[in-house]
Amino acid sequence: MLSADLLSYSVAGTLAVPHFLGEHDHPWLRVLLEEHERFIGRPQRELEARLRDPLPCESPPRKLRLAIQVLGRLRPRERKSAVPPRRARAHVFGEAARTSAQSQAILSTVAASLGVSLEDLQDSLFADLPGERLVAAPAQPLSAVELALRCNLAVVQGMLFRATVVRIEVEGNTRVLVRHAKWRGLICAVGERSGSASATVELSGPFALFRNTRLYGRALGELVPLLAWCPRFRLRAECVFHGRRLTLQLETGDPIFPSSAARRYDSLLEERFAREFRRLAPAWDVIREPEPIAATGTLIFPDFAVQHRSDPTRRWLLEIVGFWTPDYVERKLRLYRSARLSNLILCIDEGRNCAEADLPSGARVVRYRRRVDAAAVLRVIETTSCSR
Amino acid sequence: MHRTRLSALCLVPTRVLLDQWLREIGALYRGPVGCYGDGVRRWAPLTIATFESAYQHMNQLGDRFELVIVDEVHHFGGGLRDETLEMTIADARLGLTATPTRDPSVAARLAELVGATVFELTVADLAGGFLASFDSITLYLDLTPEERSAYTSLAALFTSAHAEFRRLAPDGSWADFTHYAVRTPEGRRALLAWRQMRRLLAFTHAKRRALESLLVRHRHSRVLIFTADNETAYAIAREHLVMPLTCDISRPERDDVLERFRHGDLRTLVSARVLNEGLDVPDADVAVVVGGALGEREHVQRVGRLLRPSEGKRAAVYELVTRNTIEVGQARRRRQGLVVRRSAQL
Repeated sequence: MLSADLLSYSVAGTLAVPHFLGEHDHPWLRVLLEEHERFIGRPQRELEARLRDPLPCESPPRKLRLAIQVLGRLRPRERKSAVPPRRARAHVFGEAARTSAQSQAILSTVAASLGVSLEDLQDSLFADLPGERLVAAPAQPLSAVELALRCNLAVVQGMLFRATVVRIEVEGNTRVLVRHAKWRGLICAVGERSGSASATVELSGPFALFRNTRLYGRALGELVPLLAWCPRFRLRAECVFHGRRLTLQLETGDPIFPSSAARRYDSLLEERFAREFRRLAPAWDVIREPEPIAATGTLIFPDFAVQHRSDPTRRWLLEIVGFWTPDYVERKLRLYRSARLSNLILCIDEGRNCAEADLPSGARVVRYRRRVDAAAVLRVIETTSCSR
Repeated sequence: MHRTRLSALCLVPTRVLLDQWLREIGALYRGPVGCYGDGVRRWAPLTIATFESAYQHMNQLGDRFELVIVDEVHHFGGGLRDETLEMTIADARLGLTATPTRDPSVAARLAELVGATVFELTVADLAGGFLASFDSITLYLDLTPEERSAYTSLAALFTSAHAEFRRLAPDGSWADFTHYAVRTPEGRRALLAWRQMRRLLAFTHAKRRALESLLVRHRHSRVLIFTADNETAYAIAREHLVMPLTCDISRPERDDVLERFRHGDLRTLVSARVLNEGLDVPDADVAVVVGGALGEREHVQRVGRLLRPSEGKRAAVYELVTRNTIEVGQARRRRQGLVVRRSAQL
């Protein structure tokens, strides 16, 4: 996480407006990247010493330090040594404790016993220290544009690190956000729909009920790169900077580096089902992760929606359940009932139930072993007259 | 823990101390011992956790213990971490430290979080009994003419800016000064001069020579060398072929090094910060303080490293101090901790 002095923003009323790096910063970022290139294969500490002096072109000092830090995290460093450093240290310092000889004599003895030259031994001694590691070429070439976007991401995350609560209006991909929130133990409240947004999600942590805490800042900051994959979003975060409460706003189109693309399917099982169903039933569309459905203060995320192409009222929701108990299934059905949805099909793994009890009556269930049978699902759909 | 029979959570600052507590408790207590930290999350009615893990997981742990024991409790009372102690419902709380804070506001906050001080002892009370007796020897050293002239011009740069600040803000802190200084070119030059002064004093020519002769004199003792920074630690490691123990050295290697020090296969270690606090360093009898600017707390922790008692032991603490420099004042301040401080680490 960035230190506070690298977070560059201005205050307008109660808003904290981050200073994003943009096109005007690309020239000096390019120079910085070139400087980096020149030090590939040389020790990190030489590069650090070089970067303590100014670049040969005009560059805003704070943004420059930010870019150096972001770049430092991206660039791999390698080590090269004739003898593994830890082994070199064990031999050299052990030998020094045993004898009263001069340093040079001890080094020569150890070098001879390890079969390397004196210089190689000396170079190996601390070759694994951060400053001694060699600057390496990046796995993928990095452009000034990408570096600027990554700097912006770091700034926004650094600001969110100081956030106490985050409210996001989002269209599409809500599931990813909620999954992340759940994974990090955040409290995730789903609000009323407002305007065109499909869901409003408010995120914070349990301790925030008692006081303004930055405890969840890191988890909240991790949401930002995920947002780039939502077709439309608007984020408002309440942050505390130097004891002052300010609001950070972000929205679709802000120049922030995205996370790597979200996976389309949770499992091979789902992927295979979608493929087989499309082949088997060309008249039906298979929609992966349809829009979440609001049901009394919570959101339901069906795995698939299956919809007839010429008659969109014929629409079914499908959930594939691995591990289950009768209770779990009952709760799930109750949830769907409360959302007034009756067009649900549960696909249940026969081998994975934890209690040998019957399923609740009234559920449309397709049992499966190892793979979900697309034909069986199709049979259920076609034999039941669908009601929405 | 035995007397109260309460479920207990012990908080420790570092992973090294986590290991140490697990080892020591495991030797005394038969039941399962839980652990939060170093990638492990295992709960038991008696659990040891690092500060960091406790902070992250107190959501789940806060209602599961009745007694909380905080090692090195002086880390609390002044910051973000305090929330850890607010998030637990444990009624019984015990804090341990060799270096209690003197800041009244921090002390008051700590009393709120943990409770009032119930027991104190000074290093002097313990020396010769629970702790080994020790001699404190200060060696006053000179700068070479070149070093002196460089020091004088750097000091002049720094002092003029600092005096100006003092005139404007007589009660201003060091942090206030740095905030003030970065705004002007003279201020930035003054800060740079300050860093260069510290660098110059870290390992002067005279310190090199003094260290060399001390290492020869105590070549059969177990010696710990303390420096102001890692750079000096590595310089000493290269020059005198002494094993450095820094944050850059991995934990398995650190454990291995301490084990070899315990067995006498290594007789000297050099470190800037790692040896300062808590680490259970096996019996050492000579300390050489080459540099350090963190004041009395650091000094008490460092000297504590060699106070483990043994038959007829008398430890020696050497301080290398450069005459007519900022080090004289630093040395005076850090020694206060051993005299005035009313507490000690066992």
